[in-house]
Amino acid sequence: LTDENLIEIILAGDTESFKELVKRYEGKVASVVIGMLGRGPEAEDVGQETFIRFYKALKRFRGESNIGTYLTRIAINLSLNELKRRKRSGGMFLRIQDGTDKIRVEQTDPLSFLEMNAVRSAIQQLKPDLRAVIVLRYIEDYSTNETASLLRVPLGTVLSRQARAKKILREILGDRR
Amino acid sequence: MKKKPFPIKTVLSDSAIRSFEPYFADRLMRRIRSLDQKTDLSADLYQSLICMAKPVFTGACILFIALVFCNLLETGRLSIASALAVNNVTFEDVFIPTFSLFQ
Repeated sequence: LTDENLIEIILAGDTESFKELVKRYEGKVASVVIGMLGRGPEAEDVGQETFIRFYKALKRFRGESNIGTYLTRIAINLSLNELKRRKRSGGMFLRIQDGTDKIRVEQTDPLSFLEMNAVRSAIQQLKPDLRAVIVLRYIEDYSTNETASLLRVPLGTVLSRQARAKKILREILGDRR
Repeated sequence: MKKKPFPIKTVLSDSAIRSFEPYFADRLMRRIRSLDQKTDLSADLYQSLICMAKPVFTGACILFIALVFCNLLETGRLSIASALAVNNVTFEDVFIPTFSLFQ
């Protein structure tokens, strides 16, 4: 069944078919939300909220953009809102200890568990606007244009944020080229 | 020795977590089901209120029209004031009602 077929079935009253759509796009939403917020209950909440908003908007969904892009847009906006809320309430951001998590990544080596955690922690240290660009560009593999459209910012802004984020990540991850 | 370029894309892509905790879809579907039930309950409540209000509203409308008709017959004039049985109200009557009471 295609996504469009599934949507028709759900709109015809078979709510349970929505589960199939969730399974298809869970990975995409998870990588955006967890990339932005880190793993934890808030990420799960934002993930659920993303799908619930999509569910409520199904009647209005006309397939102008594909479901993945539509969900990514909701997920990134909700994640940015959650980060703003955290900042307002003085929430805790994940911080890594100086030195202990510094790693050096060789091009061909698969990442070890610790290295992956260090990379995730490094992403969490970026400011939300930089983090959003990194998640969309490098984790979700969107083009610069698509990223600009998803974040509703000019192309130049995406490029400058990307450059800044990469520089910070290199510093954190201990790359000394 | 020449350093290899930092493989940022590979590193970030490999480090991404591409699933929530197990049974995410089940937990989500439970929320959606309860959401649907709540929506149904609200819709039922709204329908019940409409059903209850309909006869009251109809009765009130009939009564109002009858009163207007009676007022028009009684005064023999065709105006809004006579239909609603109100006298000409002056500015003072509205803002100084106590003054009017003792007149």
